[in-house]
Amino acid sequence: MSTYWRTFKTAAWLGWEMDSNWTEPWLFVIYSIVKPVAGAFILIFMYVVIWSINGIPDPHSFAFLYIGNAFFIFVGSTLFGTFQVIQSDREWYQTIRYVYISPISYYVYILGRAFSKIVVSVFAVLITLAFGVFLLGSYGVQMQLTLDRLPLFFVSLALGLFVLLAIGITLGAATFLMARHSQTLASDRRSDPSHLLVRNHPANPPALSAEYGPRRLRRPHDSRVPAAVHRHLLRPQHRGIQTGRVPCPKGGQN
Amino acid sequence: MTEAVSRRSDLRFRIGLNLRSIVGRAYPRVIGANREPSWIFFEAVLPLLSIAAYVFIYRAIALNQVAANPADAPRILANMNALVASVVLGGAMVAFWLNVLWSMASQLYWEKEIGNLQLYMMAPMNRMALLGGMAVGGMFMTSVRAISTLVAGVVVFGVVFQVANPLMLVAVFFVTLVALYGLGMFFASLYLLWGREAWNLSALMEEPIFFSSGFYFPLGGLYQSGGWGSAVAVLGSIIPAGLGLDALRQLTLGETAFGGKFWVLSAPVELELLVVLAAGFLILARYALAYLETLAKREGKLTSRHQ
Repeated sequence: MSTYWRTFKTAAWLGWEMDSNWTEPWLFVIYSIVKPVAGAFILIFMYVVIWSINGIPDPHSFAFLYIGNAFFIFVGSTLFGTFQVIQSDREWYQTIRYVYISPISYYVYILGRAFSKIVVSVFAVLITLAFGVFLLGSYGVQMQLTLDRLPLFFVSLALGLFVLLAIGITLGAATFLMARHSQTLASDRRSDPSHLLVRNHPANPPALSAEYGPRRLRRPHDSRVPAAVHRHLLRPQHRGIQTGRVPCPKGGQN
Repeated sequence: MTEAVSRRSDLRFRIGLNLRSIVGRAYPRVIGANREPSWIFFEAVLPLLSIAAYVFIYRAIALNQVAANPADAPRILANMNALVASVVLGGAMVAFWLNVLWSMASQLYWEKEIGNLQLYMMAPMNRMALLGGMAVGGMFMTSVRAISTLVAGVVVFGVVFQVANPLMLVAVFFVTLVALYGLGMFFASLYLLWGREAWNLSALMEEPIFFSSGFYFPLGGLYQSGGWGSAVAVLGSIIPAGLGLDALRQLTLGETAFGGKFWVLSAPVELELLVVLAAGFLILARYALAYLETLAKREGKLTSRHQ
């Protein structure tokens, strides 16, 4: 149990550092809040415009949309955040193989990495809701949370987050089976040791350059690669689908 | 004077070289858009879902308004159709804006990360030709998604466009694209200087720009809100998509749409402003690239990964 907890803590810390260490903490907080709040403002002005044009307010619909949009922040950050853990580890940082063969639970690692994103999204949701309740009350945004409804609210929230995490992991797992369209450049570089470690060498040694010759990969007195590692990680890859170094732009354009 | 030097000073050779560079850099994007069918599907169909969400918001509110005031139904439904059409146009423009962010502004940073940038810097062509090729290829590639969005808007959502001045419409559209991609070329140099923040900057310029440039509602609504709303709208108008969309909506929906009270400026004036923006961003891009090149030579590390 302590291993799980230690893995979770370390993964959460790692996720936080990876997400936030590109800038100052205060700037990261602003960054994390500005995006969802701007999304909420789009809804506000859509409502203001249609109200202004037709002259008929519809506060109930607006409140429904606003609250729903606020909680949708969880979907974006948790679902896609979980999915991105696998994507970024595999295709951006290329560390997934090291994490996978380390003696920890990979699921706990993913949950830990996703946890930091959930914490950030909680702040974004709270700020969006607070903005709506305190500043958009005149537009009809109201929340009526009574004590008897709180347990149902928190249980629903927890279950929702759990399902989002599960879908995120499922999506990440599905990407293992997909061709990596975002990979456009081969990684046949002499200075890339991970490439040597993971890429299985084909059965025809003469076709290989000296760099990838069996002698360079494993010497006679080296210990053998564990069968599980070989089975899971060292499967042959097509030459056209090699690991890249960075994620390509959205859509995988070159 | 050696043969190589004399060739470099030959204007005809230089123009030909840069044109070939533009074609060469645009080629992978043009071919790439058609090479992988699944990309076309994802690029064309998935964005429609987010557009559909905004369309249904307008429809839901409008139908509630009709229920509250049935006598005014024709006017409310006409306004709803105009708003839905403005969302469809905004959705098409989103494709170009995302392309500018992720495939123009971030591109030099990606090239640096994968080791191509130093090759580009060593190549004898003008760096503007390189960015120009990226822009031309990006415009073509994105047009696939934008056209599919417009077609879906007409077919699925029943949007009706009334184009009274097609020449003006074409002029506004292309000047908007030139201004947008000029901004992308300018950002490309800045992103390279900012390094790791590039990805986050692009991510940050999605929803806030969608809001401040009025991608999903008439920008005039934000201008008329007064106070900080007007200030945000002015800032959002610096992004050419804001004024471009406003002009496109006027030219495709008619000036009387939304009661004629949510337009920022008239379409000809907006076209003139867009021309100024396009020229300004292209000049800024040229200077930013020159600065980048100087910095690369002086510090000797700008083009290499992890430096």
